[in-house]
Amino acid sequence: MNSCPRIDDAASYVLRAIPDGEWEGYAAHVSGCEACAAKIEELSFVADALLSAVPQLSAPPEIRSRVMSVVRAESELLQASGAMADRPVRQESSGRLRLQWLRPWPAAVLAASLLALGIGGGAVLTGGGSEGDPAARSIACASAPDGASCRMRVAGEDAKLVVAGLKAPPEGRIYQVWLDRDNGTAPEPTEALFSVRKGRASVNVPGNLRGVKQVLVTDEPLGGSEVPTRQPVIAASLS
Amino acid sequence: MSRLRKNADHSPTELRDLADEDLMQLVRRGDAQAFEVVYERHSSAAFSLAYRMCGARSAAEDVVQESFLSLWRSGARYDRARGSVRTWVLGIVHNRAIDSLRRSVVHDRRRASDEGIEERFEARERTEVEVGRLDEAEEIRQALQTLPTEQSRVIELAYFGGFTQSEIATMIDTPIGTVKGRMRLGLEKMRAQLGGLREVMP
Repeated sequence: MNSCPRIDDAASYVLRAIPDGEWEGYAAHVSGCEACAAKIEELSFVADALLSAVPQLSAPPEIRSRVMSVVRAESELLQASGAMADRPVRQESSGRLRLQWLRPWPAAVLAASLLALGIGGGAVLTGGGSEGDPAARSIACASAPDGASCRMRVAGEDAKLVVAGLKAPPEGRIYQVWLDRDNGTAPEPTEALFSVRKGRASVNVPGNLRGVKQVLVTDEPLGGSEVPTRQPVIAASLS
Repeated sequence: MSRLRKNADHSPTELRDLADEDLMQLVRRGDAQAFEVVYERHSSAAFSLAYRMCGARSAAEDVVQESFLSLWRSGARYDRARGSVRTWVLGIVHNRAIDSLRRSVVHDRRRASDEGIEERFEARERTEVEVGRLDEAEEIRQALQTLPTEQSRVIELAYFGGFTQSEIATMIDTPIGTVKGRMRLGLEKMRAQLGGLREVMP
């Protein structure tokens, strides 16, 4: 059944050789062309088979540890928080994940960005009431994207960031938590990387909070960064 | 018959006895152990494909890492009616690798690769299933190699090199219509040769 003049495109289609800009046009054609649809069905089997036909190697073990550290952290949080929870990520320091730093974002630029966002105070503190700890306090974040709500629960030197209504990070990126000590240096990176599920996340803020003025969140490449590469989307003041 | 139990934890041994499709049901519920079994089963095939396409270990690692995290977060999208978990995993890796290749400025950098990686990471045959898969892979490679060179070349450039049909036409100085025709003829011949394989592939 080679009756369609575009039948040869079926092979290009299953081999992904059609340029991205032309792909949609052919896909629309296929939806109304029995000959092309049948040819794609016929040839897809070969394309699928070719995926396994390369010389076989063992996956380097470090990929497994990097992937599973993210997966376990997200799973723990999911199980602990129930079906509506997110999959925040507690990233363990390991291998290349910690080395994928992009360009540095100078402290001065960060400070200017925070000012532009209107960040610099205004945190609302409410005493007590957090998980039975009388010393705990709940802090409304000074800045969060439109439509998102954000609070930080602080008990002693432990803090947890709880957000709702937050968009998922862009494709290939992940949210990262930072500690800003307001001492003229760039914010300190933390290992708290997280994504959101249904807009929600609940993330433990790691590290020593003594002297920290603000907790910040930016979106970063998977694996996190050493210095922020984007403007913060969330800021919570501790001072 | 599925060995998946509802509302019950599975031991690591039980998980390893489950079929991929049952494991994916657990992955949808956020079960990291089930996901790890899926990773164990398919990560080497994923890395092999990524390395074949990217030609460099670091790029292949990035592709595999991104692919499995994407798979973890989108487990609900797996539809067993559309094929095996292995094909689904490898399809994700293939798409990611092509995206990575097309983003790169120097498209042919892949050939300058990590010399000797095949020896250092050569897969060991461990199970009967893996041996069976290697036999199938060999049969598929044979089918590709028996094609006329001009047909196998355009298929490899497209599928493993990530080149578009117009890039291939320019590269081999051949009209684009001829390139597309060679792709189709090559795949049809392979389809005829591999007809029996379809009955046994998952």
